[in-house]
Amino acid sequence: MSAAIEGSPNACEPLLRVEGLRTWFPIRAGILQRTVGNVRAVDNIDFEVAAGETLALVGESGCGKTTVGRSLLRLVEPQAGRVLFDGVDLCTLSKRELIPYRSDIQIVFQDPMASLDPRMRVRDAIAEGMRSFGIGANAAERTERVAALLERVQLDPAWMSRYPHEFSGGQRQRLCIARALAVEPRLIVCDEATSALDVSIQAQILNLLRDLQQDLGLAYLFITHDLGVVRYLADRVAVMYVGEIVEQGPTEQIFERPSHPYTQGLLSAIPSTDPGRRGISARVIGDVPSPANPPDGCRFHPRCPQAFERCGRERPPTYFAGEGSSRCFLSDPAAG
Amino acid sequence: MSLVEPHVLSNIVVAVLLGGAVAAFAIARRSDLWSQAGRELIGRRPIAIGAIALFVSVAMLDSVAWVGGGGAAGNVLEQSRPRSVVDRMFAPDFKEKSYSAPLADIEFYGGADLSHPGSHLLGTDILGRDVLHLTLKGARVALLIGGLTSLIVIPLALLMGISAGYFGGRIDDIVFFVVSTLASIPTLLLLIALIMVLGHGPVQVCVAMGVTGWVGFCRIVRGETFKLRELDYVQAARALGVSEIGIILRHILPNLMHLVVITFVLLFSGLVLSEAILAYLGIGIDGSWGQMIDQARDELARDPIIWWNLVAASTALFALILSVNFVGDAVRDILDPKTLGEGE
Repeated sequence: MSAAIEGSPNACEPLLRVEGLRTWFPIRAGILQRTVGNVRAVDNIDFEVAAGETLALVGESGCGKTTVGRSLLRLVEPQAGRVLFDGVDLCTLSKRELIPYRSDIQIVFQDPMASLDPRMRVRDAIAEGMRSFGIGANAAERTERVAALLERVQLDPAWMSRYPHEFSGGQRQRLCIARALAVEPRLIVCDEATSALDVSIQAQILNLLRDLQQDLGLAYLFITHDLGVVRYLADRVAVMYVGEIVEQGPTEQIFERPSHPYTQGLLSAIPSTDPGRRGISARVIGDVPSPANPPDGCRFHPRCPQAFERCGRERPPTYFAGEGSSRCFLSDPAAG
Repeated sequence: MSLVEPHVLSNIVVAVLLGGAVAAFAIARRSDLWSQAGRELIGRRPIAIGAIALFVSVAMLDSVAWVGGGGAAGNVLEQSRPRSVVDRMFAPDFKEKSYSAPLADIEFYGGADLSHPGSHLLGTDILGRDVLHLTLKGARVALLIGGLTSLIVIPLALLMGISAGYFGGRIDDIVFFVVSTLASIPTLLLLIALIMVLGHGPVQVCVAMGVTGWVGFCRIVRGETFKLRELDYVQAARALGVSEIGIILRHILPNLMHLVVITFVLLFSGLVLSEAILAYLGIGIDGSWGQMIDQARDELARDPIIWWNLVAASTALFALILSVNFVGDAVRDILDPKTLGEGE
């Protein structure tokens, strides 16, 4: 596969390159617990994130986008593929060897209520990562850093001896961001990080993330189903469908000239403020197929309004066009 | 003669327990969650807590013993025996020849004069021992059964349950095999067999009850650990490079503590009651309330019946169990994260 490097003019090697990542969950049954099938949560996906860039990973619920994020951090173990971070394949490292690399990639979760230990003070929660990576010489220095981090995420440093339940949802999400920042990561996986928040709070968090990116040169893998957020924040977009990336490209291109019928369907589902365009019927009908038993051929063909005979027979390869790529026969440059 | 005299060991245990209680109090005071829970508990169940405190102090006073200081005059055997603070509250020769009713002036059978007429508040038993004295001494045995057995059950169940729930796979299979096997043997039979093998002493009975009692709590711990392991804050800690042991000690264990407290309280009353059953089968601990109740089997058959022995032991047992259960319910309400207002 040709390494198409988009959006990173200054580096030939992207910060993160994922090649052929596959995370299947076995389905066991019977007395002997034999594997009778696999949930193909993530099935052979490739993407890249350059330093300081935001890649949005979008798709319906259950398409495997969360599993991608967790596989990168090896919170779930991928079966195959390579996760090259700065040229080091994280998948081949042992758990012990992986630990020093853990500080480079951090994660912010969806549910701000479940992502902080209810019995740990904010100071200890944020300092936990510093302790394991030896950042800050002693407790006093770490406390100083915690104060600076709280200020950085626009929280009062005086609150550091409080417990998480004393904070609101948006404040907790700031705490989670501060905890991730504490170990000086270069990539943050935001797993639906704003989905559980009110719209006004969501905007604050998105602005905070954007400011942090500008100041610290962070890269984000922004996992979401909210296309409005994607348009606001992302440099590039990867669209996932049943464990595969079906289309990838710069945000502008994806939103203005989507080439995959699934992307077109997703975009048409955004409610429009233009009265003339209101009432467009959903172009994607039916339910997401089970990743345990994906359809033959193109995985989208049973729901695709433009499907033809070949789609049910063959799996479309990834066609590259300009800065984007699409997994649809309609994008085949040879077919015109 | 063993290396340490039993009463010296007992004194040391009391000192350690007192030290532990002070340390636990100091730690709990530092934590808002625990000190708030403690204040609320005392506010909700003042009488039950007072009753438990009374039982505990009687048991403690009965555990501090030393030799000398006025035994029965001239009796060398009596004088070389260590006597506890509770023993010292009664005169050394505060005994009769046989049964006497509460505050009676004469013996129950025969009507001979008592050596301490009108002073046995709860009467005397078949050997002429003061029933109030025996009942007070029973508190120590009851707390020993509940406390020592819990001290065996809880660490064992935590160790097995956390390793099964956290690491899963083969370890889980092994632990669950042991748990299922133990759970499928009738508890009482296993208890009797273990006591036959280990012997009759109080520590042996506690060990036997501990070995049979950890299974239920282990299941709860395993399930809860399984749930906690998948929570986002544990995943975040893993992403932050915290070691497995660090995650267990800093995130899993503190979030299991409310279960430990609740289980301790509920386990405790169950254990004290099951000792009464063991006593009924003749394999209980000497000096327990269960044994006093067991003796009453014969006494109730007499005419007129001898009731004070049974009533004293049952009332003491009832009061302790009731208070512990009241406190247990309150503890469960208070420590439930939902009612404490943390989490959703």
